[in-house]
Amino acid sequence: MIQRDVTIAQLDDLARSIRRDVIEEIRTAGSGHPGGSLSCAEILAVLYGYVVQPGPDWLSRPDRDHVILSKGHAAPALYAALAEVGLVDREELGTLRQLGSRLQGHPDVTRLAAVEMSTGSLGQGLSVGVGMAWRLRATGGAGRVFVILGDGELDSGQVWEALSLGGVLGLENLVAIVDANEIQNDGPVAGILDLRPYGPKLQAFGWAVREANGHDTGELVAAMDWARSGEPGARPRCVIAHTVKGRGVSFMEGRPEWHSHALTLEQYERAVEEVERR
Amino acid sequence: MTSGTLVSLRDAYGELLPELGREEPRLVVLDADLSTSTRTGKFRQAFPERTLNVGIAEQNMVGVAAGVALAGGIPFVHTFASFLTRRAADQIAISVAYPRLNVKFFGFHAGVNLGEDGATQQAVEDVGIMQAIPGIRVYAPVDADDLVATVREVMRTAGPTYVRLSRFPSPILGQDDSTAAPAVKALRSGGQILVIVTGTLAAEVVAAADALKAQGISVRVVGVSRIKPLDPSIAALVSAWGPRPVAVAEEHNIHGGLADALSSVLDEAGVPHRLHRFGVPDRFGESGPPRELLESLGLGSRALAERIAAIVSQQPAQPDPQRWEE
Repeated sequence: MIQRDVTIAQLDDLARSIRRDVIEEIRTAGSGHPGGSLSCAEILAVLYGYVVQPGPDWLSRPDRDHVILSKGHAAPALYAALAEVGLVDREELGTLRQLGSRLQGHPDVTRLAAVEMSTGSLGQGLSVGVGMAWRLRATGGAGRVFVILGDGELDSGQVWEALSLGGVLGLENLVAIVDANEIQNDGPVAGILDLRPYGPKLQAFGWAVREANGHDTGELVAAMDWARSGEPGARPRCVIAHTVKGRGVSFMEGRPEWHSHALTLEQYERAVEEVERR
Repeated sequence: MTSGTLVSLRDAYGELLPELGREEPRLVVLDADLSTSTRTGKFRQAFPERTLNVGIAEQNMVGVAAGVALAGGIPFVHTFASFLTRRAADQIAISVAYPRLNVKFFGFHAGVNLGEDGATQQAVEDVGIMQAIPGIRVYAPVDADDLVATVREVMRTAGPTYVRLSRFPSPILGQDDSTAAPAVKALRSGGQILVIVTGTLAAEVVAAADALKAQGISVRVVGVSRIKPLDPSIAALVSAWGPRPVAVAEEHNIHGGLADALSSVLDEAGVPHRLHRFGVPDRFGESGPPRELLESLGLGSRALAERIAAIVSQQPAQPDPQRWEE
């Protein structure tokens, strides 16, 4: 269990453990999305290890923070984070994608309440976050809603509908985190639907935007402190976390083919070694 | 209400909504720039803080509803049946039905109600879309009284539901047989043909049955407002009807609607059947005055009377009328 006072070194350890779990899960499952799972390891480490810090009673606490993994294909990383903070048994990680498992290929809240929302059809999570944040604000709820999106996911029109509404409503209790790993299924974002720079567009939609190195837990902690402060005003917050797809495994980094890919035994052994060494 | 009184489902809904809002503080109303049509104004006046108009963004509205439900609210989602079920089908399936969230969908102006506006605003496939998505209960009330009963049932039932509403004033049909199961409404008794109908098209079928009575043709009309799950008692009703003809009438494509749902229930129950399908013959609607459009599709009371008479006239010598219960 993570303690309230947490150091940057602990968050880095947590991210390393998440990466190690991701490699293990996808190797055992024989399929999955390693690239986008590895790119958000620090984001999840900072969210669960520093911001949310879910205890065993987390799901029954009305004042709790919420996390929605809109980029649902990073489910192995989410399950790993939940295992690291004690909400999923470590042994259960070995059941990913198997028939009857709570760990579906993409998160299923009816099987595993700790994932908070079923996602996987890209583009849908931010709307859910807007609805939650609006309802929480209206009922005096203390919690915030954190939504993790992929940069490829920003292609989807529904995301911009949600950005519009979130901005108009001025939902200061809503924090979007874009895992900007610059690669989507078919290749580099730059060669498909290049919407960069994201910052000015999001600001034009009424959001307070901050950029961060998405692999620097210190920068992410500072960004989360900013998002939870009054400084950005009555606007929803967005942290654009610049990341590397497949981060931590040299032969996956920046390689689109590792968006969705199984690992051979040799690749698995090399990946584990690299992740543990880093 | 008194039988024969003309009330549109949406007006009855608009009156009911603030009442429900007072009873249930978690009720939240969502609209997508069609709130004048969906009659949510009185609720908005009473509970502005529980009302949200998201603009012309149905996919976002469904996702927002999912978030409201996750945060403990009970969202009622309103727009035309066409825009809701066609545009936001994936959001309804993945953001609401898959996580089994307590979201209540209301599809307005279903079928070909929006005559002059043409096919883009009409919905002839909404029931098919909604009943193919796992876990959604689907309703098409036959009149305003039935709508009120339906919405109250929807409130009592946890999980996603879809209620199909129509636009124009339609008559309160009453029930002339109190012994029928609640899920199956006996609208007219008769012995030569059984017509099972859903939605406000029931008024057309009843009018056809009344006209045919004067010609000596005896039509039994049964209304069904919950299409999914269909009440299993309907299988016993059809079984008891024996070899006499059975028709299904709906302001919907002949595919994916009540006829398919009924056929499925009859298959499950092992009841041999042949259903005459009075529906939209697998085509989109078109512009035209709603009544004329309905008649052109074979679904107005005049066209229905002709179709029913034709089926009855083609029947072999009728079996002993005492042999089969009514």
